Amino acid sequence: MSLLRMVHKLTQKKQPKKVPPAPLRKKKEFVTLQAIKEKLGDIDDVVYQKIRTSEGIATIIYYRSLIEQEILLQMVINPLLQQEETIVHSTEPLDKEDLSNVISLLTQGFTIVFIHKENVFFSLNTVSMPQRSISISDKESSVIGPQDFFTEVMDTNLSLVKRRIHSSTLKSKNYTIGAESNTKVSVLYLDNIVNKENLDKVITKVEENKDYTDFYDVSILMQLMEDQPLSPFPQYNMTIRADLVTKYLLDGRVVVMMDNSPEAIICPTSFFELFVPTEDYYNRWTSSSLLRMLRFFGFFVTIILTPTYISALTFHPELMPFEVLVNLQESRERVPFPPVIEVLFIELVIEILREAGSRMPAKIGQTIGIVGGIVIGTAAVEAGLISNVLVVLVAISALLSFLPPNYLISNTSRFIRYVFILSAGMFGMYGQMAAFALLFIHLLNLTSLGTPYMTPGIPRTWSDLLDNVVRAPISLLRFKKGMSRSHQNKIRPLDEE
Amino acid sequence: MNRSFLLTLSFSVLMITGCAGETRDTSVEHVALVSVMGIDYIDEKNMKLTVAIPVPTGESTAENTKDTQIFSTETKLMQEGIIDISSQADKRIKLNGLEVIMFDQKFAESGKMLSVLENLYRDPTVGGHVRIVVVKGSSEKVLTADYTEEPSIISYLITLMRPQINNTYGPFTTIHEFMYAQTNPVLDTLIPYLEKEESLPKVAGMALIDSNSKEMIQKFNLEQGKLIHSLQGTREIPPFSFNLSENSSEEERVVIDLITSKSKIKGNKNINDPHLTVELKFNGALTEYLGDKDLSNGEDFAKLEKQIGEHLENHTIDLLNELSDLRADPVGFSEKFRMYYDGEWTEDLTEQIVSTAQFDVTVEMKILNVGSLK
Amino acid sequence: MHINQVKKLNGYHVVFLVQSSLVGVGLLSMPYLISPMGFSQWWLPLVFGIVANITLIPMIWLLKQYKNHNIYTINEKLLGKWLGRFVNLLLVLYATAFGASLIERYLDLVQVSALPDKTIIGSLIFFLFLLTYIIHGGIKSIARFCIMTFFLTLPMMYFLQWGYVDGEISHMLPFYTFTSEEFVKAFKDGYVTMIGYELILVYYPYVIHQQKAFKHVSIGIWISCIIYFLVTFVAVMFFSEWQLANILYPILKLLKSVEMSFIDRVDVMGISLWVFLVLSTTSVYIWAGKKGLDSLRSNNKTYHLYILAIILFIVVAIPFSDSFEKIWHSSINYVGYGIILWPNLLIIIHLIKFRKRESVK
Repeated sequence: MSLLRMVHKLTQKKQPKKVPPAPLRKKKEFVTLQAIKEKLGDIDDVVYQKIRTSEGIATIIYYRSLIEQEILLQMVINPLLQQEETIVHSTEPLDKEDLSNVISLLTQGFTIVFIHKENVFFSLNTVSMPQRSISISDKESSVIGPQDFFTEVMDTNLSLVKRRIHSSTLKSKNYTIGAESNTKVSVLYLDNIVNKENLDKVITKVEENKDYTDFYDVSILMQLMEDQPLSPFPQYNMTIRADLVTKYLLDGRVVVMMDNSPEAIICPTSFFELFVPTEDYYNRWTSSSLLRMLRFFGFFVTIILTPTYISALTFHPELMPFEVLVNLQESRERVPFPPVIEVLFIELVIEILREAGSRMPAKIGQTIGIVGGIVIGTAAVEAGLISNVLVVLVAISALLSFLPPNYLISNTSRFIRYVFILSAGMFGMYGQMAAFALLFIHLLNLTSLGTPYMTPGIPRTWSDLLDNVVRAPISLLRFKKGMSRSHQNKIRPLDEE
Repeated sequence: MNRSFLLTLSFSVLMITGCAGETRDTSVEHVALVSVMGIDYIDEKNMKLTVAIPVPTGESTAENTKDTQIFSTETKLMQEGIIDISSQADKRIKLNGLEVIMFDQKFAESGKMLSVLENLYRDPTVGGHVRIVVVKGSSEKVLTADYTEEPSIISYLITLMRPQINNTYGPFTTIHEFMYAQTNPVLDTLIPYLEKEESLPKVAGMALIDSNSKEMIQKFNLEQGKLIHSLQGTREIPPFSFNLSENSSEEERVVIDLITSKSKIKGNKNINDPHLTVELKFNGALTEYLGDKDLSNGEDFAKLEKQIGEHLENHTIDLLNELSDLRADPVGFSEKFRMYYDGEWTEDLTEQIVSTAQFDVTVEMKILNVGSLK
Repeated sequence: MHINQVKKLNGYHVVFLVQSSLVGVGLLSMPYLISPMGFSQWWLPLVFGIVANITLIPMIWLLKQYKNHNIYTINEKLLGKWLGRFVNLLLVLYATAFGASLIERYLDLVQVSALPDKTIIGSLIFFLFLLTYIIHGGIKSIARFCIMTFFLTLPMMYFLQWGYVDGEISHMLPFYTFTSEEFVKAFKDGYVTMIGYELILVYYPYVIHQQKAFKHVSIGIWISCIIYFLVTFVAVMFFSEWQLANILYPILKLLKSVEMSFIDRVDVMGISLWVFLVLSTTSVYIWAGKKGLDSLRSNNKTYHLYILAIILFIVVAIPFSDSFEKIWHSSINYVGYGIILWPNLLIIIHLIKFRKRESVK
């Protein structure tokens, strides 16, 4: 059977209804070689290669930068020359009236084959962009648990999730968003568990933001999808861990992945869940409870530690026992600024150090650590710019701010601290408590996909309390989280034993 | 968006008002926190106010090694005195960190303590753990004397006045407890009495302040203080040591440590013929003994226990008689009558009860162990 | 998710709304307010609870007749448009004035005990900012804040332990040593601490389980009563009668008695933390006031809230003379008592109208 007849058969059998990912603008334009060349003018890595086959001349069109030569040879050129049937199996006949589809296929890394004689176009999937392999990441790393992290390629990420859940109920719906970038986005959920209302909300939110142009990471989509974009708090969880995504999928959440970004976002998410890495479930329940408390209360300590220093020194020296007071007076005697300025100064120095360190290559980063820690810390105390007690407090609060596994919430804690510092500087303890009230009012008003953010601080279901600040033994965690509002409530049947 | 704009606006207004031209922030190093205050008697109207302020030691240069600043002034009113001292000091005087107030004996006897303390009690910035002490001699001298061995008189006094088991010779009266006992008709106030002998001041006894006349009327010694304290219902008291054979020439001494006490006071609810049953039970460990008895012998041991009990009982009876003569009630015996009395209880009723009450005292001593030797 | 839903308050929301609108500044001075009864005051909070529960019955009965109406619309329906609106205006004024008196008393106390160097204006603006922010979220947001407040401030009850240890339990006896006038005085001064549950008249239409509202409000009342009872109990143990009658804020002195190794003055912390309690109480009142303004002007506008906030600012910031403030604070209480009894009058009118309608039929 000749190749051409094969192609003929295919085009006649299947009407071009099944078009791969729908292009954004549908205009009726006839696909001709000339039209393609016009569209792809000034793109110098587009290759038009003429091949003489037994059925006549064929032109193959592809982006050199998106395709490896070897794959091209293997998948397109050799089969065309040898007229093997393998090529036929991977062909998709194209709608001749849809030029933009052809162009979009080309930009994705497909190869278009044009058979001159028959005036037929078909595409071959030769996508073989350079990509990073799955590797251990230094962010969100853990000692126990799987060490495979998401990469920038969505298909890899999907495979990481799908090999953890072997079920046809795991759905992944693809969407193309971004007016210029035509970025692929996939919405993952377990059909039998997920709350349909939540799913609809996610899909509407994704589609609402279709026309936004600048998608280069999923975090941009996340900010567009948030219920309250003005809030300093991240309202969805963002992770590069495949096991965390799996955990929440099984709990009934919706996960959104984007091509070219290693993170996946989990919606909805509660405030507390931002402090929970999966390692908590791999550890013994006692130690993970301890670490959870540390992380969760650490968040509040880090925003209140240096403000307390200010309010105690500025307004309420009587708060401290006599011995501590004398100690503090001694440490502050040479400091020329009021405590607020002193704290703001050193907090800013810490921020500068952190920011400088994070941009530098690792080797220079170390130097910055030494300069910051030893030179600035010690010298500033000796120069009488700050008190040594404050250095200790600032160091503790800086360390505490790195405790949450979620990078966004740890940044948030740093921002909120300044609100507390200013309120404490103005109104002392009262200001601090009022700032706390402000924080709580804000958190209570926040919603993540319409579900209150403070869940399970205020539990939705009583079983949420089992997986709260204290994590009960795994055998007791039989229920889905109230946050998910899932279909199936039980994780496992009770009579499992 | 309108809403968020308004919120931002109001918040920025708030920020701006916070910065508006008020006086400079008063942080710790610009404030002089009075830790100890001494009040001495000059005459009916005037008193001498002495305040001690801790100074961070780092500040002291070679010629000025003092870690305490002392200011004193003569004044009619407390706060007036504070203002006067503020003008002497380079910092603002604050009473937030007040820990100890000392009165000299004369001032305590003059009966003006209540009015001074009432004013301090009114001030919400003054803490609740301000301890009240009466000193023999002048409190100014206690504060200004040269102490070479102690780093700071302030921290010495503060630790001395902190309840610890080794120096609980009586109640450590805080300002609240002072006010409580003075304004409670069933109670008279007991406060520590300091004496400065050679170098450092020590608790030498307990001063009794009568609620009626507000004057200091008696000084009890340490043992009496301990007994009153245990009658008040305290659980733990410091070691006792006494000579059991007071009359005979032969000495028989015991030291008892780790004492826990239990007191039970019952009244007969009849204020016209008051009758009180006082039961005191002590448990303790014998740590040292000097005498003829063989402690490993059960009989001798029981005898010793009984002897100690009797000794304490005699002392208690003496103490109660003394209180009865003074018409004072630091223990709160009359509370047992007030509880069942219909109507308003008065100071006079308390005096009537204490002076006419018949006490039925039993003291029991139990020695729980004699150490790890036989 | 509940934005377009009218019924949004669950049972526990109602419980804590009631509980939080009761416990506020009043608790700080409760033992002082009921001190005319001397040591026998300790069981008075329980009497308050019973009285509150009894006065609740007519409120709930009335509300059950008009399930989707709050007190403002009920007033208009029963009293006619103009008289009803006049009463509603009074109610709005009451809610605002009561809120203002709470804020003023609290901020004065903060200023005196914790921030002697600062004026009241700054802290007032901060407070009003928070207040408007809470009320923006609507009644459900207020209810959630109330729940949070309850659990955040409840640990303060632990500090009563020191007072309990230092106190004398024998003060509980004799059971009563007061005259009837003393009882009446203590009752009418002290019952102000119970004011707050009448606001169910405003948020009843939002309650999901309206049939169980009586139960939920009662639970809220009794949680507060138990807190009041514990506080007065310990206060009676800890203070002498003279102290009870003379210390304006006995809770402060109780907190001062707390002795911990790492912190010397719990009272400063306590009085600052009290901002949660005051915020939750006032936010319910001002929300009710805002609802009243909405019904008076027959529309639902956010700027009504700003108007109220500005009025609060002006009223609290103007330094009135001390004697005027005393009169204001105490007379507002009597208005509160009047409002608690107001539903009885409405019930009578309702019954008369109902009977008329029956006879017409």
